Amino acid sequence: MLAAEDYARAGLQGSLDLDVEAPTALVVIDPVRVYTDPECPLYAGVEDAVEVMRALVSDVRAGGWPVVVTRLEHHPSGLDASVYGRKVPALRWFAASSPHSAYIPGLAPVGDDLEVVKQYPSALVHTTLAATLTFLGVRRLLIAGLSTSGCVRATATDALQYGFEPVVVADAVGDRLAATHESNLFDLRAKSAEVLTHAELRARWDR
Amino acid sequence: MTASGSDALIVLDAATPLLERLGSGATPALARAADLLTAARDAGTPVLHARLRFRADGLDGGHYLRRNPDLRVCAGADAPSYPPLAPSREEVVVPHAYPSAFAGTSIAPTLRGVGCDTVVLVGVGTTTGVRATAIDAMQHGFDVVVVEDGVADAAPGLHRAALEDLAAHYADVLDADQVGARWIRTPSPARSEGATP
Repeated sequence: MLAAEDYARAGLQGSLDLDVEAPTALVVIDPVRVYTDPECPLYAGVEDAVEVMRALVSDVRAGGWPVVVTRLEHHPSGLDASVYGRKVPALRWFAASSPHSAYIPGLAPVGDDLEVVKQYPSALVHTTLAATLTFLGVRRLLIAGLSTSGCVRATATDALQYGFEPVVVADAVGDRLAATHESNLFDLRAKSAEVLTHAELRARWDR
Repeated sequence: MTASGSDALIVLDAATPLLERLGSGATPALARAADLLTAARDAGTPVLHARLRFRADGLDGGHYLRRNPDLRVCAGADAPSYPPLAPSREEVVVPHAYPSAFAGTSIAPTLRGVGCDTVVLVGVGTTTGVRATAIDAMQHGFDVVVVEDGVADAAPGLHRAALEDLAAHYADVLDADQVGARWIRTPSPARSEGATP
């Protein structure tokens, strides 16, 4: 039996009904050059996903929906990275002193965009984002950015837990390993989020 | 049974534009808070600073800023520190956009990371940020000490009433001398744990 069929029979792979319109925002997770500078050890080869992120941001802005852009930042002492800093030495590449911590061109927050500075993987943990989205009346969260297995997955899971409908844009997220990217999308689709491509979203918006 | 013995000092909202609104009545409390800040640094007690800060359009302040538009003095840029309570370069400053320093911030895991089990609060205002932070600290599993002569608010009657509420339900309300004596008797072990990654 295919895994998808097995999961569906188990009561997983359910769907949120995206035909029901809901106030929506886009969050672009950590679009920083850590992942796109070839000389950075955390380079992930995600140029294709970055192109889709740019197109998606453009669509969402044109639609008048809020755009949220997140980045990681910690105090130079590392105290506010706590256990995360001890577990993930790679956080050093995101530090202000790193040459790779700037936003990827075209994905920096502009104008009314909401920039969320976070210390942990999820954009919704230890930030005011959930409160701000509630204040704005947002109910559905499109999720793009980097990386699929880390901050994207954490944010999508938390979106569900905070009461927002998570929609992960499959080709606007990326990871170092294709297999990791795919397996995380599989898990998200099975248990937490709708997973659609940018083209599939556009087809819905154009209907 | 509860663990005990590792304090961290949190200095709440010691920004000049916020303190100016309280008038000269707050000056003695701010001086006591500064004494305690010095004592914490001398004893190796971890120090964190919490600061109200909103983006320029105030969106991240939500209904709090809508109901308290005077707090826009903290929007768009870091409000200047009150010099006697200014953070050192080594001390983490936690920006917050709601009354509690725990709301929408990573202060709780930072406190756990430095081995803290008790937070000691000084700063302003007793009825707002101090009160909200004390309750949230307790709800996150920390014991709470509010320094009665190291916190202040605009209205003395409301300040005293808030301290009575805090003492009745949420916190030990001690004076700065009592807190300073804690640190002389039981210096924090946090500094020796090497909390930096």
